[in-house]
Amino acid sequence: MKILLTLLLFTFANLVAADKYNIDTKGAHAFVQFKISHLGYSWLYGRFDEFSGEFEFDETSPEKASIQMTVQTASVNSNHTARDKHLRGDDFLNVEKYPTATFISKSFIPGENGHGTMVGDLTINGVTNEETLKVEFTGAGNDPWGGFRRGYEATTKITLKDYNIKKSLGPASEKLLLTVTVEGIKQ
Amino acid sequence: MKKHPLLTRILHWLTAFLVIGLFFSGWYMVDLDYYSQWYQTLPELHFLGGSFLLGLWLWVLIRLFSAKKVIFSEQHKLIEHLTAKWVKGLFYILVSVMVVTGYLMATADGEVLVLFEVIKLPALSHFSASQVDTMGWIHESVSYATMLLLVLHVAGALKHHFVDKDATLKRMI
Repeated sequence: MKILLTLLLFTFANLVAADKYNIDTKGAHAFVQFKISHLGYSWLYGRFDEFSGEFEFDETSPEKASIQMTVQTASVNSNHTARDKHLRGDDFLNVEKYPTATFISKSFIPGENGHGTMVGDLTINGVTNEETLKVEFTGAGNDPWGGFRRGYEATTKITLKDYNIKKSLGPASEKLLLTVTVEGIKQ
Repeated sequence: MKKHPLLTRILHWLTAFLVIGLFFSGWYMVDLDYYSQWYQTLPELHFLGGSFLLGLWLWVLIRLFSAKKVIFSEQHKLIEHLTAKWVKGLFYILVSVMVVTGYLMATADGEVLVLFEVIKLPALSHFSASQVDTMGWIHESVSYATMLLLVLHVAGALKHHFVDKDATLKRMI
């Protein structure tokens, strides 16, 4: 009886446990991108080429969704060698001292159609701030190779000064729009 | 008084002014405000000066091995002779490192570097982010070392001129 109960409990625990998804960086189906205004006249786009992360999601209790990501700051790529060198330096990302940037979620407020709002701690340049990300559910389902995938796109606007980035690029360039697109493979 | 050959003197002063000018332009340009009039031009001038120095420096190095050594009669103290020799030798090494890392960094994206829409400098290779950062660190550190050496070099020349009252400095003018 005891064994049966334990087994039952174990099965139950497994059933309610959220599914774990690894972000598909191997197949490069995930992107950490940003855009920032240049002089107030145009958008400059950049991205981070190296990062990793995982998220958890349970259909029956979506409010428990969580994610954590780590970005290698030295992988910043704005398609301009000299600018990237400047971005890696201590005027901006200070990658020698702070080689990673991280996001660790704290809460998720589910909205309609799988979308929602994610609140979490974002750490850049050694400074941690709570940020709110608008999360769009982009799709989920079986992939053609026997796996199950789930995708989201999250956006937020951050202020560079909040992360101790003091170099001024002008009044139009104080905020940066961050877009993170992830495709997770169910483990 | 027997002077250094004219070409030696010309190369000495041209490279001297370029090294000093490049140090201060480099020192100043990395902290320029983004809205400064010089933000685009000063780095370009720095690259132009650096390319010019690279050419002259090749000539200096070739002459180091090919030109006839001029021996002067005056006897300096052994310590002076050795210091001067070391400082000179280090100059050859440090400035060579400066011009090479500078050139490689300026062309690190693997594309032709165009200066003032006229001068085209070919890229030798494409370099990764960490390689560019390492070269940047070397370029910066060596520039300070070069300036320290310059102070020693100038102090030596002035000592010979004003204290020892010999012809060491006059020979280079």
